[in-house]
Amino acid sequence: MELNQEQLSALVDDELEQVSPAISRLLAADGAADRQRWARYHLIGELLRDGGAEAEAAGLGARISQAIAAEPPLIAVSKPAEAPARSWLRPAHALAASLAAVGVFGVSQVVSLHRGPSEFPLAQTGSNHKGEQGDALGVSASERAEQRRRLNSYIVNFNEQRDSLTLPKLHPYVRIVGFHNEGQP
Amino acid sequence: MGEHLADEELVARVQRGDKRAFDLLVLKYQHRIVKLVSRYVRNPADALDVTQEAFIKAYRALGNFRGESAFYTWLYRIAINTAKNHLSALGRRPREADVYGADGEPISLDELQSDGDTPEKSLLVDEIKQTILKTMAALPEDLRTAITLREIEGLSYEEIADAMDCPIGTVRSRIFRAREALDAQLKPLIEQ
Repeated sequence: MELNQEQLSALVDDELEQVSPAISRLLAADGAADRQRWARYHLIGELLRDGGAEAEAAGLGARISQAIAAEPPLIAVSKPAEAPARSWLRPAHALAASLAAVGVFGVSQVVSLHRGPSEFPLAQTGSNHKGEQGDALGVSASERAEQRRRLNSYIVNFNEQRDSLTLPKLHPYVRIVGFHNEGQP
Repeated sequence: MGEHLADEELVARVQRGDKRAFDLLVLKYQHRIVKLVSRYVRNPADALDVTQEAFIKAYRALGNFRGESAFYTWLYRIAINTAKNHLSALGRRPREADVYGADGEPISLDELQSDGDTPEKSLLVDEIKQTILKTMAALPEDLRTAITLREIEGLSYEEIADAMDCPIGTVRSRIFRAREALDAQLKPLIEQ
């Protein structure tokens, strides 16, 4: 798009409909005269509002331009995209959710050991077969030991991954449940 | 028309690595930032240095600018903080200089600082301001009114069209012609 001077004047006032093509034209290699006009139009506005000439007289724009030229360019900076910024939370949430499920399962097991048959049959394990030698739930000592081993192994594994993924800290009560039976016979 | 659309477009281009787009933001806002900084830093040379530092800080931080506020508002905050930091650094020196004038009265640091411009620069600044005032006075009434309502009163084209009872296209043309008349006098002074 060819940028005429009246369009440039409207761009200075933010009154131009097609902003992007106008700025492309302004930034084009052969747009130096337009860029100087852009600067003077803004200066005129400042002068009319009682100010502005000091920066012009000191060549401030050129000084800053030189300083910026020495700066590294800003490339692939983050735009408001919140979803990518939080993408690291997804594995954290997945791990936390799975750990919570295991923790709840473990709690139900431990509590049931002391209270007798669970009030929540759906929470009981598949190995809870009647007639099998074991506790009130019908879980044998060896199965219970295996559950504890796997639960603790899972929690230890989670802790290791948490450190490497900078995940939030494990809730204390989860740790307590996980290691509750570790020291018991 | 959408406000600050040009700024948003320029900021987006800077964030994609186009430094020239930042130059346009500097050219647009340098005067206002100098004026703002000058309220804190009285020495004109220091005010220019602080302004330059503020723009460089803004450039470096622009990667984190998310457009939650207008670019100008964000730039304003950076400039004010930079000016305050400059004053804090000065605060480590005595506020009253150990210098006495011919009348034996102490000369304050502010008074010493206010003498930072060269005579040539002061002359050019005065000349530019006088030229603009004279050219404005000589403009046809409709052009002077249009540019005044826009630049001094800050009205939109639509509001100016209502005030002057004319189409928006006419407003746009009048403002442009006023600018061109002013620019014709300003350009030789700047380029000399």
